[in-house]
Amino acid sequence: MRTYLLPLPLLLVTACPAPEGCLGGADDCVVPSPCKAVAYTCESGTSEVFVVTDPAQVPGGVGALGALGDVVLGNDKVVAVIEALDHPHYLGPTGGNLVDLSNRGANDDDLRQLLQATGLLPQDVAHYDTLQILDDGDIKAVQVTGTLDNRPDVRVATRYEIRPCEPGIRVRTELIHEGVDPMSVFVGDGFYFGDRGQIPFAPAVGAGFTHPAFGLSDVGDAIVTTPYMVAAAHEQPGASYGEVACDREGVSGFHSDIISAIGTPTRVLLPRDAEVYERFLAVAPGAAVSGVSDIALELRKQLWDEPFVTLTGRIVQEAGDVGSLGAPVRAQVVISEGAASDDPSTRTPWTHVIPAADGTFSARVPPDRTYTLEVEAFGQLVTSDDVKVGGGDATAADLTVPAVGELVVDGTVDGVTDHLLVFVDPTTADEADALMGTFLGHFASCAPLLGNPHGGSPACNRVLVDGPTSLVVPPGTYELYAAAGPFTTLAHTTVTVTAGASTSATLAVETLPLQPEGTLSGDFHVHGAPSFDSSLGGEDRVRAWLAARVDVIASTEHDVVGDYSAALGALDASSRLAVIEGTETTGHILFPLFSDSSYPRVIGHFNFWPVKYDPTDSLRGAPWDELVEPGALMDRLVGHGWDEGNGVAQLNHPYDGFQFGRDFGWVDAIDLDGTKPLPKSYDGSGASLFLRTPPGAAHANSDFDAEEVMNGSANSVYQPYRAIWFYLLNQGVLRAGTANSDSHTLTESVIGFPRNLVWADTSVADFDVGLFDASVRDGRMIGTNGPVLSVSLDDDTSAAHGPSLTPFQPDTSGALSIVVRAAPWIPVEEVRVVVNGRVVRTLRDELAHPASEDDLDGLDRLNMTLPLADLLPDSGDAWIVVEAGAPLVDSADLDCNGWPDTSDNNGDGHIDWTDVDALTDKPSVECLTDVGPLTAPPLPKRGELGYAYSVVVPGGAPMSYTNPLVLDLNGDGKFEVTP
Amino acid sequence: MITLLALLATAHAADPCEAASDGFIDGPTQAWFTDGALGAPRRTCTRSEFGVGAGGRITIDRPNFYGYVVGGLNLDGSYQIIPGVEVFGRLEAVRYDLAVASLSASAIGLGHLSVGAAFAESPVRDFTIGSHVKVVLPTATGLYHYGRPYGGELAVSTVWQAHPWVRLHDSFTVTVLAGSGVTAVPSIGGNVNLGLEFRPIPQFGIVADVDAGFLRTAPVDVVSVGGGLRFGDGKRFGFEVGARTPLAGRERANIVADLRGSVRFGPVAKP
Repeated sequence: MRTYLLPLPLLLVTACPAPEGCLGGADDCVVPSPCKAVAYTCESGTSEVFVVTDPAQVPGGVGALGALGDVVLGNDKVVAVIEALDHPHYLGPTGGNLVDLSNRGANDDDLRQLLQATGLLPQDVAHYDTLQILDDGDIKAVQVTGTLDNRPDVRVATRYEIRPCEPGIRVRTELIHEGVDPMSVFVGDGFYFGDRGQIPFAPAVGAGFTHPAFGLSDVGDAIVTTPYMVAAAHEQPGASYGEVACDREGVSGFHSDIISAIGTPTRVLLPRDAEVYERFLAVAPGAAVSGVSDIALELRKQLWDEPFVTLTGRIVQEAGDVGSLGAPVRAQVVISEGAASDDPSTRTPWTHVIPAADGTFSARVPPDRTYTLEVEAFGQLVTSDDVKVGGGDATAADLTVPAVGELVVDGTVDGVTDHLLVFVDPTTADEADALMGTFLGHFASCAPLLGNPHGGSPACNRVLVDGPTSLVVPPGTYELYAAAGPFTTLAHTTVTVTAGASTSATLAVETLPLQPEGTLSGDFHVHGAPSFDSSLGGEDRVRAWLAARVDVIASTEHDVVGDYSAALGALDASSRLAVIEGTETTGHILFPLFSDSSYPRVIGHFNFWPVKYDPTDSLRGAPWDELVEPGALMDRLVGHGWDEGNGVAQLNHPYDGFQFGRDFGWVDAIDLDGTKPLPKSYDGSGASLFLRTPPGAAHANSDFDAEEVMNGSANSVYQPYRAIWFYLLNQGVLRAGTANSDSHTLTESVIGFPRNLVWADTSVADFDVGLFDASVRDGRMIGTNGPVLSVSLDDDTSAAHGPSLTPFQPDTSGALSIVVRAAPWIPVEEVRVVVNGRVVRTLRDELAHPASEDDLDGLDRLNMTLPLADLLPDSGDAWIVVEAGAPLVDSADLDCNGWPDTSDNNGDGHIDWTDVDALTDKPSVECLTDVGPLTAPPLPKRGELGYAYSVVVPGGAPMSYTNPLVLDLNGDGKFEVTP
Repeated sequence: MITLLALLATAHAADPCEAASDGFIDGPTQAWFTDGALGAPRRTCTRSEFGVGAGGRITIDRPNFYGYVVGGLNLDGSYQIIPGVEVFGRLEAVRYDLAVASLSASAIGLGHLSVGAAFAESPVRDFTIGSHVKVVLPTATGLYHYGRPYGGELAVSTVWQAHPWVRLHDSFTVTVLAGSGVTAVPSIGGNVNLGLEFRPIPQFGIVADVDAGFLRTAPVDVVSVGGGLRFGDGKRFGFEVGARTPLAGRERANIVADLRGSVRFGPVAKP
């Protein structure tokens, strides 16, 4: 028996093949070239790989972030940039990921990030620690190796490869499990779209642009398997991307406007096994899916011998139509397998086209099927037709879109042609319903939809004008509204647009004497295309600033510093507004923030300015902002050149929910409880982080200068943010309150609504950022969505004091002076005097109201004094804030954390669990886990006073507040509020 | 009473294996932490039998968002070639894996196969010493795609019939795990087992075990306690429901459990 067994070990050894690529773990391993069945040829094809030494070597585009030290991998068709290992972005703990991918010569990079991951948690992402350039004749490659983040027992190796003539790059990732416990593994690519940009398209039954909503707990239910995935850049210039697996016939993954993850099917991976994924990342120009899905079908023919045919067609405009084709909103076609009579949920969308100006289009589709062509115009399905496709190329019957009319809009400010944001509004609710449209089922609903809500002008139902501006509009009667910020008149006119005809309208706006002398208006939270969640490019972004008549803009892009110098120069805007470069630190990578927490978190978002733009830097001048507490983050900012003495650190949207498990607000992240005092030392709880100085840091977590009290044009978050601010003031944490739009696009929040009015001894023409920021830090400002508040109080030397965080001893026998003024189209219904967080006086009857929205004699709403002694508490110091605008909706704190969270949503007169959307049964506990919503003040209907305001400030109600007057009543030099 | 004690004193079998010559399950608890039961302590006495078992292990690691469940149906058999020499095998006939993570996965299919040989001898009365060698083969073809691990073990064990109702068993096992296709750095470890079997009547017994494993995955792989309830008909059939749970070490499983029934072949003797 022994002799029979002897050869067995030899057999085992010789029968075992040598590990391929980096599976064996050798230090000098080379990941093999992927996608061997793919071959492209052309004349004069080239390929290159090099380390970036000059910013000019990096292709441009809204998403371009390549920097010195990164690696360019390119050929005659495409250019890719792979991050240097010490250049992490967004979700990556290290570099080594794809950060730019564009068409050669087009400067159309629209890729925020593509990174390898095996799941959704931080430890599922690849952490690369070696990068190698491989140059093998025409085949150029970059190989990165490492492990999963904080999991040294799971190795990862990725090869990015380029060859001449190919419309993309080949990628192979190997994941090797050297650990001891089985794991679930999915090897794939995370496409970080960011939101408001690329829309993923999956050719699966009922899918296409439609994807199920999911959360972290049910993402598995959203996974689909498709032949490929593509994502189009609906804003131009922008590249479109697609991914086709080379080693299997489909890709599995989930999709959303924020992130898509596709790769291998999820499977159990036992120790000492591996998973490998080969794919082709295709790149194409253009705003339609078809550019890259055509490539995907070509690849599948090469890989799996799947045939395709070309389907052509034409969109036809009705006779006399004044519009032209070529823009997505005018006409775009989704081509789905199935018949028009089929339930859409049973059809399989295969591609999407945008007709050329002459209406023609073509796309590749699988043969021998029936297809439905659905035409969307202005966000609505306007026509559809079926076409039978056989084994050869096919042509569909012409599809006719309804005729449109032309609207030429012009605007003047103080009689001179100038920038305006004009809103187009249907005249009745029924017309609005009839016109309501969405862009391929995504983003905001608009009536009418004149352009991609998150793109350039026209967007949603609004258009930037600077001189006569032509736009195509569905026939109908519309109201046009425009105001150049809250300190002008509001122009309003009615137009009727007829199919096939052109109509003109001019809106004339006049500046009103409302902005107080010695103030500059400022919006300190503004995004544009450099942010991962904005697609609004440079010139339109700056035009929106000009249209808003804001004096000072803090340009605060997520994680990077943006540069608008070219747009400012082209629009000659530098003399009209001061732009301070800054950044919004945005936590992406979850980490154990405090020991009492059972799950990892991020620290929310903070704005810092000024932060200088650096085109050579991987984050354009911003520091890497992950995995640290706010105090340590401030250290990084200082180390990166932030001028703390002349700058501002602002806590953004302190309490604002979360996305994919990442809190937007610091107060949320640390579960701060407003019913308890701030802990003075760290005890493992989140709340005790607030005042803490992180070990080794020079800054405390509370060393920010300002907190956003108003964020966004809509007002629903004002009450909780206000409550947090009041709580901090009562705790002796004196911080300025700011009011910012947080505008990302032309839709959603409007620039300058709200804005800050800052008393500062500087001007736009001769702007001194140090002086300006000193006033911001000291709280010498008000925040407003419309009303202008001026308050003052004399001190004991009879000197007048306005809002400021600097305590003073008032003349207690004196009076608080309150002046409220507003444009006649901005209703002001009440004024509230808040002392130490309590509303001690509400003024309604005392307010004057304009006779109409055009009543220029109706600017003055209130001018009165209140005896100070009637307002003060019985003991201790005090602070006073005055508010003006719409009444606050009744609210309650149902989860008992001190912040209002729920309004009387069922209108029964009291607020309880029945007002909570998420609850159907009475909870057994008093303090609820599910709460909300907390709604904004009700919006007026058409024809009601204030409706015009709600058109130009969508979702908003007039609201303003002063920063506090801080009163050291007992004159002891300290400020202490008695609880 | 004196007569009863005298009867008990003279009631010892010649060796522990003769005392366990019916179908009642003997030796350590069978529930174990590893695939293919690599390193699991084994009974010292040899026999011919066929067994069917169902069991699995569960791991819940909330702080790391990790969970794992594996369970299945196992078939095992042994054939005593001559007294004291046995060949054996065990097959995870159906194996279900569920990995719980941010993206979960599951698999069902054939599991691992282990085969080996065992030897036993009773040099003195009431004491038997044995050894076994075993290999674990990666027949779970649905689970492995690029790499396959191969396991082997060599063990020495003893059993002492301390009393007609009480046996003490122990073992020391050296394990080797190596792979092909991917990183093949072998890991070598050892396990130590100490246990007690209490069988007051032929039809019922209790087993308790303490185990320690080291060096295969960590300096201390596991320190665990386990036990089981055993039943039999006093002739050929035996049943056990058993479990182990770690007290210390790297092992992340919360508990491993097994329910097994067996039938013994060949000559049997009533206990």
